[in-house]
Amino acid sequence: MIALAIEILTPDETEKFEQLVTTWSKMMYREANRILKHHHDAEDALQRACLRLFQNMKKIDDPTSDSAGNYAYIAARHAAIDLLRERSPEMPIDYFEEELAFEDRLAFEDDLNGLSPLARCIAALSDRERSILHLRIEMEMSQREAASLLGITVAAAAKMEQRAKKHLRELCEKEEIL
Amino acid sequence: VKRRRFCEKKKEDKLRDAIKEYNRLQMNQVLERGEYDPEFTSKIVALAKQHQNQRKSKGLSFFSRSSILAKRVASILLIGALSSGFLFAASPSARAAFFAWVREVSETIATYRAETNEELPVSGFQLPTWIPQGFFIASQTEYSDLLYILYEDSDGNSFTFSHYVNPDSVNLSINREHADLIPLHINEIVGDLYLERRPNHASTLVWTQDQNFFVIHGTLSQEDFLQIAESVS
Repeated sequence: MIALAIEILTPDETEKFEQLVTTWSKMMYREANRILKHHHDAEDALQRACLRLFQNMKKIDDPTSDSAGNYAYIAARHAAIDLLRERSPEMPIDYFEEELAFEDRLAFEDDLNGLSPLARCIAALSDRERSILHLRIEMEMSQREAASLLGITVAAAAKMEQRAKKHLRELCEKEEIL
Repeated sequence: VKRRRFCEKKKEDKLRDAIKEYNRLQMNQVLERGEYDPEFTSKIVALAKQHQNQRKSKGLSFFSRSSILAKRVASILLIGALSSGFLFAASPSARAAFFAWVREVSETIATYRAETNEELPVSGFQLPTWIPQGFFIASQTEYSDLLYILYEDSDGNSFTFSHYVNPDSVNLSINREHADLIPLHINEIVGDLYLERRPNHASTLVWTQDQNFFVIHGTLSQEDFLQIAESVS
């Protein structure tokens, strides 16, 4: 239970956490609720997401920045997917992510044309691949930190990063960006 | 080498910008769609305040599970688990009904959790009907299996009350390095009071009633702890 397992933060970090949640909770909640389709489940997932954010607060300079927002978004999305996965262990491991990625592609389709070619390639990555690149490159997290936020092992995070970069390179080559 | 590093850095910067560009689009999409419960923000902010409050009270702070394992000295007490445990091993019918609260106490850490092999029915929340004079409810947060109330007075003193209705969600660790463990008789139940020896440091009272788990945490006197606990209904 999150209320009992939270890490010890400095007062500054606690304030940052409050700011992060106040700024981005609406987005986090909507994403979790969209995935889980149930108010209480969304809350459970977000408690889990907040615990992961707590543990990585040192990485956030400005909790109101877009970068921090996306960090919160990733935490919420993956916590919700983890919950789905726990409830349906019989489903293939990437099943829910692929389903969601398909929904996202439908929702974003028109807007994707307005993106730069490289951003379009990023949009074509899988959800996990995009998340690991965001955490590693934009948030400058270590593999260990990224793994803890995504709820996977360090070895799996390393493999995922490698795969994401390879996939992105292939997409870029196809689009003749490189 | 310098040139290669420069090129790599440039590539990474380009990639970072592209990631940001995509993220902005994604976040705008999420913000535009779906429902939102405005109470959620206040619930999570209350959680952060609870954390701050624990920091303020310094004495009995909560530790993550990994640090518990490191600090544990391994004097283990199992409450009521031994006899049930025997039945659990011997009989399939007993296995279905197995439930016990487990308390592990070392010189520095005490932990509480439940051992059960089945999902138990969840009861309603209970809360104190008596609190020391001058205190008021500063925040009350209800999760699906936890009621958490923060009480404060005008001098900035505070204490918290938590009621867990689902034993599965209980995993409490108490740093009892500077606290005496005192058994406290709450109506007909014996609770554990970790009474802090240092002045102005918070103490913790823990007790269980069937599948319910209660915690009071704050800088209160032993009498106040007892009266609050006895008033819970």
